[in-house]
Amino acid sequence: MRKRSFFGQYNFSDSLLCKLDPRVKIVLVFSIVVFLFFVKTISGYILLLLFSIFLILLAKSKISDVFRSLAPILFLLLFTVLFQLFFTPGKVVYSFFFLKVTSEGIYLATYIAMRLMLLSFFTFVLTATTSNIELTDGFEAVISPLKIVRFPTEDVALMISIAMRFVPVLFEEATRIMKAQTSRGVLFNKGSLMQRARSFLPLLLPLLLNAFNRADQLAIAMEARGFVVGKARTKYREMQIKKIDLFFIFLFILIMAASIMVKRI
Amino acid sequence: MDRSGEKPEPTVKSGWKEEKMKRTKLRSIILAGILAALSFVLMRFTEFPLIPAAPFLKTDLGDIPLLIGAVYLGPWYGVAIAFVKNLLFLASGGGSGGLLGSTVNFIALSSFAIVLGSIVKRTINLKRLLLGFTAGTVVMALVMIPVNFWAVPLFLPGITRPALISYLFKINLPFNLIKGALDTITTVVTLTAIKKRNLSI
Repeated sequence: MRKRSFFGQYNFSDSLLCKLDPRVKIVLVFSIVVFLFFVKTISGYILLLLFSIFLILLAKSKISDVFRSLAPILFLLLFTVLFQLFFTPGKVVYSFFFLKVTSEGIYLATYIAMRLMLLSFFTFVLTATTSNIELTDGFEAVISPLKIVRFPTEDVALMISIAMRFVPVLFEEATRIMKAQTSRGVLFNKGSLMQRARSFLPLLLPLLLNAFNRADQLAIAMEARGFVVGKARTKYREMQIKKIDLFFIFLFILIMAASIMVKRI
Repeated sequence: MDRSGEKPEPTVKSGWKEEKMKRTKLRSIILAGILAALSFVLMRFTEFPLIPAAPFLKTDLGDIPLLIGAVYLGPWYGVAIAFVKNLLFLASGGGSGGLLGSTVNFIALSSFAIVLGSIVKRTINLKRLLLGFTAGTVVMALVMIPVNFWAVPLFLPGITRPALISYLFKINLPFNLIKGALDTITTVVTLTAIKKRNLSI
């Protein structure tokens, strides 16, 4: 069902990547995604692409899942590639009426297509091998140094875990309300922009009012169980860095260094 | 009958004040979390392009819970909701923009939320709301010019400077203003509907 494709990217397997420390995975993937914007050569991108394919194979994910993760960027990919292909000035290789394909255009189009694909591949590796709980815990640990500047890391982590918990619930509720209102004759996705915007009020209002009620109930329930905001809590699962984590840190640094050093083709 | 002697809404007003005292920090955090989840769900439900010429500039109703959060809970909760919403978006596989799109969206929405939240300051009347929303829209549209000046070349390295500038002022600026205006209308309508029910938020 569609609910699965929401947060359904994670699939449990006994792969090495699933066993990695979530903190390490988050930091590594984030740094390599930022790093992508500093790689200036296609050969560097080819190296990174091979590396991301290696990671995907290591994660034992299905090929169909990988392609599905590309689906949302497909339009952007096509748009940018065509834009670069036809509107980059330079040496004309091929012309068709007013459209001119230049060699610089081909170069830039390949470059940008690879950048976009790499962005989505690396994010996929993270989300496919890390469960929501691990992601939240890992993220809380990663931002915890910000406590020094009085940034409320616990509050943010609590917000994230509550939000993750409520996404499937709210999604189901939204579907239900949408069906109920459609059966009463509300037309979604029809008419002009203003009509469409207005037609969502019968969907939005019940959702919001339920959200307020839920917040009340949850706050009372948590306070009744002695929850105090910002107080240190113990965890069921302790995260610890093992040898395999150190190995992957080393591997990522190696790949990043190699991809920036390879010569321009 | 002469109604001038009557005060129309004393009970409502005192009710608001009383409820405000009851609001705990935990409840605010929980509400913000749920609003972020709602924002994410609505974003997935209702994404539609605004200007036909630029289909990658999308808008959705996901901003409404966020702006409501900024109005009721304060500007920093608005920023936090924007942050969590984009984090969820990334964790769910990311939209068309990926990490960069999420960052740009976060900057836009948090600038809107900060301006709106600090003008409204949790006192909800139409005058302040409209002032806050207008200022928020304008600030968001202005902030997006330098941000896009930085972000667009990362997607389109071949773009020339004049083309970029004409894109920013002819497509991007009107888009953000229309988006802000649409957000203003929908959120104010929703807020009035909530207030009519005399709820305690």
